[in-house]
Amino acid sequence: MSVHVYAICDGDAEASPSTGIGAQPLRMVRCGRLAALVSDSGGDAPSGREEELWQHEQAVEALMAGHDVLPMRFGARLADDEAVAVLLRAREGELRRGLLRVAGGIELGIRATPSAPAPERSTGSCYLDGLKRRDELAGELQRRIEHALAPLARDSRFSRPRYAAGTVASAHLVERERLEEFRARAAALAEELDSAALSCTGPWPPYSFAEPGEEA
Amino acid sequence: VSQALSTRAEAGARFGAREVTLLDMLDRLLEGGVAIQGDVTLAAADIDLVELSLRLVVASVDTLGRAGTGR
Repeated sequence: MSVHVYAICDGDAEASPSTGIGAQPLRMVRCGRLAALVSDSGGDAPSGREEELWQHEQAVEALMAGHDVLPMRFGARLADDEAVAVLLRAREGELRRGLLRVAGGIELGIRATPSAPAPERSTGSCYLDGLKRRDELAGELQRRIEHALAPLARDSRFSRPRYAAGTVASAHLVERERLEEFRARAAALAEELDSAALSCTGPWPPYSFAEPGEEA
Repeated sequence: VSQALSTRAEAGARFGAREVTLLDMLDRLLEGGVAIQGDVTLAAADIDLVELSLRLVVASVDTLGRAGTGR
């Protein structure tokens, strides 16, 4: 009987009466000053269906409603409760620092895609010019997002998704009480940008800040 | 599917589409979070997930394109 692991939190947190993957009840495994939110997996690896991903997300969110959490990546599965306790003990320092890093914060996601047409493949040099222009646009887009939204966040991390050329994605760690302020600023930025479509999603558990940043 | 889904969908609807929300969810659950190395059998699911993300990419790029030109 293995267990799915959803999130790490303070040792005194109570599991919410919610369910996890496969609609299994959630419970806590405690070790020292840390606890892990888990459910029995019945020995099956997660299949990765969309429903399971949302079940993982729902379990983390239910805990996040009342506690600071360090979310686990989807698919984290250990042999039994004892293995979970071993993990909590072995990585206690790192996990406690992680909890401090995200304390009181939630994550907001921004995704901006330039509406410039994809580079034409008519000639090699034309195509390369198009690629260059697209990178410049993405850089400019990132500066606009950074300028408008990073001041409202405790930390911001940017990425350029491999699978969507020209798109700028970012994650922002925002104090819970500044959620609406952040959303309003993002909506205003979306209106200002006439050459890109911008979306704001969240609040998410702080997945993008679960590991220390490059500067940390 | 869940409370989470409807909350996300509402949040996404302000600026974009449900597909964008799914894509943001995938990025976070599959690449973010605390990773356990070694101890864990990472989803036999990986192949399914790649397929799912590719479908979502196509859907979301399409949707974003329309949102961009519609303004």
